[in-house]
Amino acid sequence: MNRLETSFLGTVMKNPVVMASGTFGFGKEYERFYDVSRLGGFCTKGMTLEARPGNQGIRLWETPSGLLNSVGLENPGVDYFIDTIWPTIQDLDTLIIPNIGGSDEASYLKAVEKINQVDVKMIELNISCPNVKCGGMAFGMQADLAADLTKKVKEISEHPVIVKLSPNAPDLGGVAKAVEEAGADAISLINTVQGMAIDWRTRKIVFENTYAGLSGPCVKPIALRMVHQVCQQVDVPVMGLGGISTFSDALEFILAGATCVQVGTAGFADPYTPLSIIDGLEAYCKEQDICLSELRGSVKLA
Amino acid sequence: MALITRNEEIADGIFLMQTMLGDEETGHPDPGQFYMLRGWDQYPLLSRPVSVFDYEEFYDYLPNGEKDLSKSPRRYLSFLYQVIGEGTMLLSELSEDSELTLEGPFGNGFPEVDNHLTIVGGGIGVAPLYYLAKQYRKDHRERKLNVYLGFSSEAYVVNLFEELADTIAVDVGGIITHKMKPEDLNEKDTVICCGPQIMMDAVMKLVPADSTVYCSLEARMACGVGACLGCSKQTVLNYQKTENGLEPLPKVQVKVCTDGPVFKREVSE
Repeated sequence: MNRLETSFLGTVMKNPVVMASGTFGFGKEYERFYDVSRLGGFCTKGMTLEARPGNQGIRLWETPSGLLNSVGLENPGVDYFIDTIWPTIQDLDTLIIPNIGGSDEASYLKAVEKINQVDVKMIELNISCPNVKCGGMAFGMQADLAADLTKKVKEISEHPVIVKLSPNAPDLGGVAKAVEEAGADAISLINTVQGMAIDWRTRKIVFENTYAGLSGPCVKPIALRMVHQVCQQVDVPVMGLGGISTFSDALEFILAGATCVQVGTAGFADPYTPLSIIDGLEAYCKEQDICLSELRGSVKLA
Repeated sequence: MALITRNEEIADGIFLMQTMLGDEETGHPDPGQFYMLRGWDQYPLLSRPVSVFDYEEFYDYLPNGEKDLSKSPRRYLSFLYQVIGEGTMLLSELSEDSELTLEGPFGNGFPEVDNHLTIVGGGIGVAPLYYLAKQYRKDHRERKLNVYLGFSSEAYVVNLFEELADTIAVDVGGIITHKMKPEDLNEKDTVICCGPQIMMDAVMKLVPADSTVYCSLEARMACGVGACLGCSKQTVLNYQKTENGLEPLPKVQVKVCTDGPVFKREVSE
């Protein structure tokens, strides 16, 4: 019996552990470490209509228990994904979720339309990337803009749509409710928290784009709080992410109401992290003699 | 887990670490490849990419003097690194007999050299070049190996290269490429350099177009396997022949970990 079996948007997953966009490439990169079909799924690197070179200069900066990044959506473009990458990964026995970004409404919609021709179970709409000058997070900051884009994407997408939200939105709950009303099939959160680094030696701002996205264990309490809040406010399923590094982190997000969890930065520190999380959840459920789905949203008051 | 068998400061801020690989680590790296090193539990968050300085295997010997092939050999992997930040500082503080987590080898490594070889190393950039020189010498006893090594304040590991090289030039405090004369290079030599970007740019510009030039780049990395894109950077690899020699063409974008870390200079007419 598989105690971790998870149903998400009509798809049955082996387990709820999904690798987060931008931390897992397009899946093949991690085949050298383990059989990626052990994962519940993975989100691809964020893709845009046209290929993007990403940001120049320093892209990574470690912080105590965290990582600032300013990659800036470097990606080969949706066409390249469809023609060249997809044929090499489509047979992987795990849920593959293309992550789609854009710089303006038209480019989002064209990219989503192109992805229609790929036989995937769902897509993730990135309205929360803090590292691009145009678009990206701008669409996720205000409820009306987020809802408008979600509605238009839903009108043309043949796949269910997970909308990935930004913790930087002043009214995250408002954005979550707005995208749900606009037709989002699910919500994932949190994308990275906007941060900054200054190199005191050179007295310079580290990142060419000035601000960057913070991830890793340091954001976990913030992410957990936000996932908990959003799960109270919406009825659509939620994928929770932000600093998840251990099975207990993952369990906490599920207790808070998340249907699935995404693992990102922790996979850089140890590529086997998702497997330890899966094994840990499995062992816990066995010890408690329950199925993981019974625990979803079951957190008790203090 | 690998076991640290030596971790010694051989020059100011320069450490030579030798590790003995455990059963689960992959050995037999190609020269120019790198490993992700981690000598701590959770923090700092990321492992550190460090290129292979040396790799050796030792078999036990039977009483009759033959190698005992019934047992796997002891495998030693060495790294030469400079203390720059928190991670390399922590690596330098690891004592003998402590454990080190290693993932790798990663990256493309240096290509097969099918003619004479010239090596140019600057500072800690000499690190991947020793294993290259050693393997080249092992495979090609009859071919030439010319070595140029430049250091800003103190030379190190020069004696190791002296054992392998036909000629060696060392510079401390100056500019090593000033010692390189195009006429010293045999036509169609292979030149491999690793060091500060400014040194590699100078090598790529001054080595005649008939020779093949490779450089090995360095970048911050989170994953080492092409997923995080933290190591993508723009760099000059393309040059054009002009009356005044080679002129750099616009930069190209490379992913250091999986496209490289070794890149070939391209020259157009």
